[in-house]
This record gives sequence, C-alpha cells and structure tokens, in this order.
Amino acid sequence: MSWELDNDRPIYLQLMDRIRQDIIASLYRPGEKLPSVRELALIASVNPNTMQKALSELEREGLVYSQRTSGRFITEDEKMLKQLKDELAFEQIRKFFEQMKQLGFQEEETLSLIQKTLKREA
Amino acid sequence: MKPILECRELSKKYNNISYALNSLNLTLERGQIVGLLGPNGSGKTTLIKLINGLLIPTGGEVLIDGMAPGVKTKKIVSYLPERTYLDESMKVKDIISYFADFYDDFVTERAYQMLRDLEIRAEVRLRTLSKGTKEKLQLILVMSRDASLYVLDEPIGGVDPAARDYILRTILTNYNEDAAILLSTHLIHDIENILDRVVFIRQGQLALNATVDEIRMEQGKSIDSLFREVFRC
Amino acid sequence: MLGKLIKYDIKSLNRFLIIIHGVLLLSAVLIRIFFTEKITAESLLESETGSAIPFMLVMTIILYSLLVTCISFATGLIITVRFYKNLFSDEGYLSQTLPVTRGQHLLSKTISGGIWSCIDTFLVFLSLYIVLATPDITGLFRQYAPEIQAELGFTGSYQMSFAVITAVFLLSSFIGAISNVIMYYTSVILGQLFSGHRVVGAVAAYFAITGVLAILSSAVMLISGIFPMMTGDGIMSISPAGYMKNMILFTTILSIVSGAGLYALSYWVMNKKLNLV
Repeated sequence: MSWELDNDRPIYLQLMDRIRQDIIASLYRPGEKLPSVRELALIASVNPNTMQKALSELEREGLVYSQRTSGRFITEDEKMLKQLKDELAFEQIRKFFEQMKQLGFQEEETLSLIQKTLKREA
Repeated sequence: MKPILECRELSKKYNNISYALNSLNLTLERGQIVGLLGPNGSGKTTLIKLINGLLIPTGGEVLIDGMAPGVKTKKIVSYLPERTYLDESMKVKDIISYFADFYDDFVTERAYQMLRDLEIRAEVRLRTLSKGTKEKLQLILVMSRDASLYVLDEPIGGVDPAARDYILRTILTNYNEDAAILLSTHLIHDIENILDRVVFIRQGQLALNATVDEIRMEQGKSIDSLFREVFRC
Repeated sequence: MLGKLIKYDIKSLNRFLIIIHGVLLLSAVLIRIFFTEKITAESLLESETGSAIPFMLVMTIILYSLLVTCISFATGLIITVRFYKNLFSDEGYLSQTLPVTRGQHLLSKTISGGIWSCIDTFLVFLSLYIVLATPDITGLFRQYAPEIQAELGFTGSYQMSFAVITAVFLLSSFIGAISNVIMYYTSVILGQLFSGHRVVGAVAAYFAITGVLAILSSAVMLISGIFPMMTGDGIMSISPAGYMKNMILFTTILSIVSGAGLYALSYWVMNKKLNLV
C-alpha cells in the first residue's frame, strides 16, 4: 500500500509528517530500528532519494539517529517524543479551531460545544 | 565521473522540414529517476531514439557516459521502446536466453522471478500473449539488466493499474545510485512520486528542468497541474 | 557477438527454408519413383504416337520447373524479408540496440543469407540429379561420355572431367547466389532512404540495380568480344565449351565485383544515413 500524498506540498515534507505520525502512534517504539531507505521508499511508493531526504531532515531534528553500519533508529529521548506529541496535538487543535471559525463559531462557543459533545457521549 | 547523459546543441530534422529537436542542451547525473515530459510531438521519442543510436543527429551530439552512441553505450543503456519489438515466433524463454546471450549485464534469475510475479509462462509463444502482457514482458527484459542508464519510453502506457503498480515498484526496486532512469510518459500523476526530477520538452527545446520538490516548493503545485498549465492548449 | 548474430539469423531462416526445401526434395524423389524411373529410351520411342507418356512428361517438366523457380524465389524472398523485418521493422528497435555494430549486422545477415542461398542452389542441383539420373540415363551417359565431351567441345585445352565441370559450375553458382543476396539487401537498405515508401523504394531500387548491372554487363560483353559472334555461315565462332567457359568466368567476375561494390555501398549507407523511424 502506498502512502496517501497531497499534490501541492513537497513530497519530502509529507513523508516527514507521515513518519512523525507513525512514531507518535507508536508504530515504531523509542530506540527501534527503522526499515531501510529503500524499503521505506517501496512501502510509500516514492523515490528513494526523496525518502532519504525526509529521513535526513528527521535526523537533523533529532527524532531519528543513525548508527553508521546498522541503520537508522528512533530516538530514545522520551522528552523529545513527548514534546513532538504535544506539538502535533496543538497543531490539530489549532486546525480544528480554525475550521470551527470558518463555520462561524467563536472560541468560547466551540469550547462549550466540545464539552456538550463529551457529556453526551459519556 | 562523467554525467550519464549529456546533450550538447542536439538537433534532429526529419526530411529537411522542421526540427523535431532543436539545439537541446541537457545533462543528467547518475542516481536519479527523471521524468521526460512533453506533449505529443514535442521531441521526447526523438531524443530517446538519438540516445539509443537509432537516429543520426542532424547537429550537435549526445554522449552517454562521455561516449557517442555505439557498441559501448549499448552495453550500458537498457531501452524500452514505445512499441513491441519482439519476434512473435519466439517463446518467452527464447527471448530471455536471447537477452542473456547479447547483454552481459542481464540477470536471468531476476527475469524469471518477475515472470513468476506477473504470472507469465516461459513456455508460451509471444504470438499468443496479449498486448499488455507483451509490454510487461518487455519491461521485465529491460529491467532485468544491470544497466547504467535505463531509457523507458511510455513504460506504463498500455497496462492495467495493478500491473502499473508492479512496474513502478520494479523500477524503484532496481534503482541504484550508479544508474539513472529516464522515463517518458503522459501519465504524470501516476509516477510523480517516484521521480527526482522532471524535464519538460516543448517543440524540441528544453522548457523546464527541475526537481519535483523544487517545483512543489516554488510553485505550490503538483507536476501534473504545472504540466497542464505550461502546455495548455 | 558476430557468431551469436549468425546463430540466431540461421535459426530464424531455418524455420521456413527447411520446410520448403523438404518439399523440393520430396517432390523430386516422387517424380523419380513414379515417373522418370519408368522411362527408358525404348518406352519413349515406342510410345511416340498417341500415348500419354510424352504429354505427362511435358506436364511434369513444366510443373517441376515451376516448383524449382518458386522455391528459389521464395528462398530469396524469405532471406530478404528476414533482413528487412529484423533490422528495419519494429524488431529493429531491439536488433539495432544490441551491443553490436551495424557492420556486424550486415555481415551476419550476408553470411547467414549467403549460406542458405548456397544450400538452395545445391539442393536445386541435387533435386535435378534425383529426377534425371535414372540408371538408364547415367548408363547411357557413361557409355557415350567421350562422344558427348567431344561434341560440346571439351577437348584439347578444354579437356576436363565432368566432375570438374560440375564443381566449377556449382562454385560459380554459389558466388552468384551470395552476390544476389547482397543485391537484395542493398535494395532494402536503399529503400529505407525513401521515407514513407520504404517497401516500394526497395522494389524500385532492386529494378534499378538489376537494370544498371544488365546494361553494364552487356556493354562489357560487347566490348570485350566474349559475346558469341555468329559468323557469316550462321555457325558459332566458338565451341559450346569455350562459350560456357567465357560465360561462367564473366558472370562470376561480374558477381564478385557487383557483390563487393554493393556490399560497400550498403555498409556506408547503413552507417552514415540510416534512421529507424
């Protein structure tokens, strides 16, 4: 199965997002070895060079690290992973508020709607 | 290391009428998958035939690994034409041994593995295969070589979507840093993600030569939509 | 690489050519068994009036010569079509991207086509021999060999055995056959220069080449005087043996010269001019 990619953003950025998400979703555990560039490229159906670039960028961010001979691993830095998780969460929430604003809801209204929804479901 | 492909002021005229290719300058490095894009009649196939020594240039030159097309370049270029070039009276296994006989870089086991993957039987005569299956077989033959330059003219044109995925995966699997893949197609959307770079040709001249992510970064759009824009009728 | 090319070229030609030459030999054997074997000098003389044998004989001869002509023509055609198809049709996209030179392609095709053309010539002779060389005829021939030789003029300086005559004749035919193959190939190659009308161009080129060769050879024959002159009494100025010797010599030289010239022309055009469109 190839990954769903948008048409308008650089592919390597989308690959980075996808791998970040997979890490957050615990598809890969801290310290776990990532598949090789070639394997990942095949899984995603993208150009290996682009995958390489995405991984190098993630490496620069410190989310993954490489060991010269044995490949790339997910960071074991729990603080960084937590921070990444929070960042992604904030981003989702920001997007959500943005969309609600487009529907005409102010932030307070949105908040109370959220609470209502949670109560109903509970 | 010399660039794997270099065109210098490359021109080709048919019958002294109009230029199919007009002073084209283009250099491609190894380790890339390059999409050769352009509307019908823009000169894509002419360029590809010149690379393979099937046409004699009217002007300029084309160099593969620093050499003009000849025996030495044919050893390192693996070419898939846009038509079926197989002798219909042969069997599948005959054409495989034919390739193994002539190309030192042909890997027979890889060819048989791909035949099994695509469920093509080695004992059947080519005459009995459907057009799509023949195209798949040709791609198997071409990708079973360890070439330095793969030149694929419309590799996914006539096959079904499942085979298309297999073909794209085959191209990705065989990709290596020392080789370059040049492929022409009009099905840009399907292959956009596997390309490093695109080369647009218009009326025999270079219209654009950039990496896919450069284009997306600068233009904020896919190659497909950029193509439609640049070549709007 | 040349060896591999020849191997595949011969293999490809074998498919049809073995079959049609099988037909040739089989029909020769059948004619021999059911027909010529039964004819003796006496039976011919006896059946002079109204018998079916002379009529049947004439018919068989006509049909048989027709068959031989067709098979020789088909051989040339199959060799030429293979050349065209393999190098200049869609298959050319593979052949011409193999790691071999165009010169090697031309040489391989000339050798493979030449070999089959010689085989064809030989088998035609062989089939003639099968049909004609009944014990009766060979017996008669052996009995009167010296007289026949003398009558044809193979005497004095022309004295030679029939084995030698046959060998010379075969050799000259082989050279002619190979030269013919080259001429077919040159026609195809020149035809390629007529974009849009490549097959018509090839046929036109063939007639042009044969035309030019015919004019050239008649001119040379007239000038050199090996043309058989009639004396005032209507008698040949030269013995049949002398005439044959001159003709064989002349056609062989012509074949060699034209073959070499056309081969060089083909080589040059293939390397410098040809585009696969």
